[in-house]
Amino acid sequence: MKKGIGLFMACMLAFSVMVTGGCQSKGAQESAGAKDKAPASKYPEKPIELVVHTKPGAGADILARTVSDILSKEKMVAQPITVANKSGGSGAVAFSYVAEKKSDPYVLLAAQPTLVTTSLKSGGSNFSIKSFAPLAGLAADESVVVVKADSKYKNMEDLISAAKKAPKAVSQGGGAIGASDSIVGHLIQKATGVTFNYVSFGTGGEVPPALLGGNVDFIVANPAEVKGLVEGKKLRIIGVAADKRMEGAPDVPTLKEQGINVVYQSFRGIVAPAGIPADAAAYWEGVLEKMTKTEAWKKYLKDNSLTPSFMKSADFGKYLEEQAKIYEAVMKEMGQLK
Amino acid sequence: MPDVLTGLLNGFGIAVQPMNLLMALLGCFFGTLVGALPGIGPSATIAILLPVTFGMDPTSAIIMLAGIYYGATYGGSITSILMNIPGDPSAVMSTLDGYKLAQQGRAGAALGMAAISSFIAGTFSVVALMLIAPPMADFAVRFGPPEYFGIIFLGLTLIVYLGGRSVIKGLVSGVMGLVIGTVGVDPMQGFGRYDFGSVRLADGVPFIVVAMGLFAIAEVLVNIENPLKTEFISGKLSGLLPTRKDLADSRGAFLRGSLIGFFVGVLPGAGATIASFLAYGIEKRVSKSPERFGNGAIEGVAAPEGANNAATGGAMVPLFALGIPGSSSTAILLGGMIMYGMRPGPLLISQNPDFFWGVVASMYIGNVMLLVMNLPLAGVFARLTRAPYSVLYPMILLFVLIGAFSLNNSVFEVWLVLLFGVVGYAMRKLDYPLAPLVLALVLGPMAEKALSQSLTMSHGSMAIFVSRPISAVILVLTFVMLFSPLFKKMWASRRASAGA
Amino acid sequence: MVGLRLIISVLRMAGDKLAKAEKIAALTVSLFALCYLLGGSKLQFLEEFGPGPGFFPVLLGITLLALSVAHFLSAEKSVSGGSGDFHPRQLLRPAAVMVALCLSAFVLEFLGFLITVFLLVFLVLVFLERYRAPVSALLAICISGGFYLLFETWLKVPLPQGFLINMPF
Repeated sequence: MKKGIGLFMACMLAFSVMVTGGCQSKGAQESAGAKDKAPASKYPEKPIELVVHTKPGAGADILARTVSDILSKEKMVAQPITVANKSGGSGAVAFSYVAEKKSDPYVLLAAQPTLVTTSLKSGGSNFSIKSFAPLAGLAADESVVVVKADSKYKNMEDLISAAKKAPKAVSQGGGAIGASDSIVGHLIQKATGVTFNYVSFGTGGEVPPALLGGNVDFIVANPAEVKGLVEGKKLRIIGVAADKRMEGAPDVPTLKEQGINVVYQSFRGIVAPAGIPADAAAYWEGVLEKMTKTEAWKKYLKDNSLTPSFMKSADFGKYLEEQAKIYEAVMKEMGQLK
Repeated sequence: MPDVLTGLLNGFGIAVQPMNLLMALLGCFFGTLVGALPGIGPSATIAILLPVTFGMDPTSAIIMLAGIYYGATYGGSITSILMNIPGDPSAVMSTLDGYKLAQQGRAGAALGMAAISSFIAGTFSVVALMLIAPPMADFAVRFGPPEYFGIIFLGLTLIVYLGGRSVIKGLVSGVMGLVIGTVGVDPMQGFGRYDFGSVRLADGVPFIVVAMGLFAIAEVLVNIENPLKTEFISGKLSGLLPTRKDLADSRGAFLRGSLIGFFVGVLPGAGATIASFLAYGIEKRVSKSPERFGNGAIEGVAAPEGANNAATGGAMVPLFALGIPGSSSTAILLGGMIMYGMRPGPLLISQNPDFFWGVVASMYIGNVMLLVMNLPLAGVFARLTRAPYSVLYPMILLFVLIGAFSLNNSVFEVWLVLLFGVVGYAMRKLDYPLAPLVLALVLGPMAEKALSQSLTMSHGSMAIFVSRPISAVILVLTFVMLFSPLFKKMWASRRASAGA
Repeated sequence: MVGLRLIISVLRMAGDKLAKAEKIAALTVSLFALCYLLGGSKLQFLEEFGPGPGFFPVLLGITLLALSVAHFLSAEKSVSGGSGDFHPRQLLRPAAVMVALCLSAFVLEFLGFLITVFLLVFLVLVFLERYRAPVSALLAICISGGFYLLFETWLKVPLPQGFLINMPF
């Protein structure tokens, strides 16, 4: 009995030492080889992994699945695209995963403002917005201010004058601090000089119920999140943070019209790890542009109340850098960054 | 009422179409399989199979996905009962009495009871979904942070009853669970706590990792201490199904499990896990012989199993009535519905009646399918326990390794699960109960979040917990549950001294 | 008579061992609670309206410390249940398995799933369970292959590939 165990453990030990030593060198050879075999004109040659930083069912996930679905149905891409959910750390898990795959053209990432904010907050030395190569901007998601249908606040003016009465008199419900809705709330506070009482709920799904139950006074959301409830006359949108009114909701005034100069859009796009070969980037730019012209894509935009907004990779890249600067300033104001 | 009947009949017409029947069967089957495998939960499976459903009719697709959802809730109990490994957080409570029953050779009875209870409660919750979904949903949204805190606090106090012989050890276990729950980003400011700067722990220690390590690995380690033990369960396998007495004993459990499960399931963010805790705890509290719990009381399986299946029906209430997902699985269902162009919201039922009634009718059928599939299988699974343990346990360990790895495709979680395996082994040897730790791990962060939200809403005043009617009621309930045994004793001694 | 005295003394030793083990456990928990408490004290205790990040950790740390100290003190008095006879030798097999598991975790990403699992199962069966080598090898192949099929192919759960990714399996 004792002998057996001793022998067994010795075996495992010896083996693992051998293997680790051998493997490390083999491993190094492998990746070096892969780099040289950079795909030429036959790209893509392997299946593609499209990473999403949320759990299935969330906005970014639906975007990714729609993209991969349209591309494969319309046979625009020869290889299968698999959606890989890597949720956690407000996206840090997914983003660091993709950033580490430097110059690998078979990994893509669905991009939203979280990419910028989390890169600033948690990227540290592991990743920043520069770790990603922009491929294309696809759409923009508006932000709307929503109250209960029977709320005493009929428009932004009611809301702001109530808020002016005392600091934190009016409560806003939203996601974790640093998420888009908290940022919009912050911008409104800055523009009007009031302070809201921000109550943060963990996952996005808990926010509309909080509003419905009368536990907070208002929320900021993407139109798709509240569409059903607005149509069902449970909630009402009193303002949209955009330059012009939404097509799908022409009687909702913009914040600007109501005297609050706040415009905020959440971008939706696709990026890849930095350093991928130029022809791969051009390939995706072309394919994604073609995709935005399909009927299926237009239906997706309409169903989710998104604004079409295609940007080629160079423009998208510039846009991302601008966004990074803006977010950095705002997050410092909010105390999210030192 | 007539509307409901016509809708339902219509729905059955849709649900019995061969394609939909097949989808329901596939869903239940896969769901059960997946639920039994620790580490791979229903939400992951639904996500994997979602693309497969793209070409199909939305009703058929959702029928299958819903089948996975409640199939998985049952499936988790299989490994809980047979191997003391909860496949899913909602199956943890079933390990307490279910595994003991299996060790007594009554695995078949336990599994069968789980199937029957799931069927009864599942059917109940579908009926309720059908009849009172909209008003139920409106009521449920009135549950705000103070009410959630009340319920979670109630759950936490019930943990005290799970202590077993030593109250102190139970408390230590529970507090350890709370402590582990604080690892990660704090719910208020998003500040990292005890995460050693690593992004991996930002969301805390995953429950399934702790559960697998504490239960599965530790169980294996304890069992292999003695090399002479060849068979997993020694002694005869008596009875492959629950006896009449079992069923009679569990009548109350069926009722309570169904009610608790449904109502708790309706609350977004609460769900099958809390439902199963509460059902077990309350069952034990109201039992005439609570000391049987933890030693193979059949109601200890009936109550939580019923509750977690009723909770799946409950979770569909906010989904269909308001378009709000109550859990990660329903969130995926919601995503699927959006992709099919449906607009989840209060108007869904009126705009897509065929869809709603088709899915509801299919849930009835699905519940029946589960029962029919699993009752005979209970006997088969029970016989699995007679396989030579020396081959069985490496496979169990493999399940754990794969389960841990598949969480995030990384070895980090594997290391964590091994760590908890050692901790669990130590706890077993020193007779610290495991259940309080895992329960506190789940409930702790939720309690902290709810507390902080409540106090933010009330500008720091504790009065909010009593000024809101629902919250006040819950607090009174908690108080009663906690102190009634004490009062009973005081009352009895006072009467005795008065009489003397 | 002598036999009886022997039995009694052995039992008493076992009892002492158990109480000692309990005390060590309680001490370990106390130590842990202290570290936890120290970590928590660095966090902000209260926020404007409600608990800050440090609130629960500090309270929990104090509670845990108090509980474990109480446990330490009470462990002297009683020999509570649990495993009656406790031999350090019992730890040998579990320890061996833990070591094997740790090594497997270590090499998992290098060797890939199939090889690691095969080796783990094979070595456990041969050395710990004393099956003959060919039987162990066969079982190991079946188990590792079966699991691979179940997870990678059927359920499409990605498993570590290791450096053999170029090979056809």
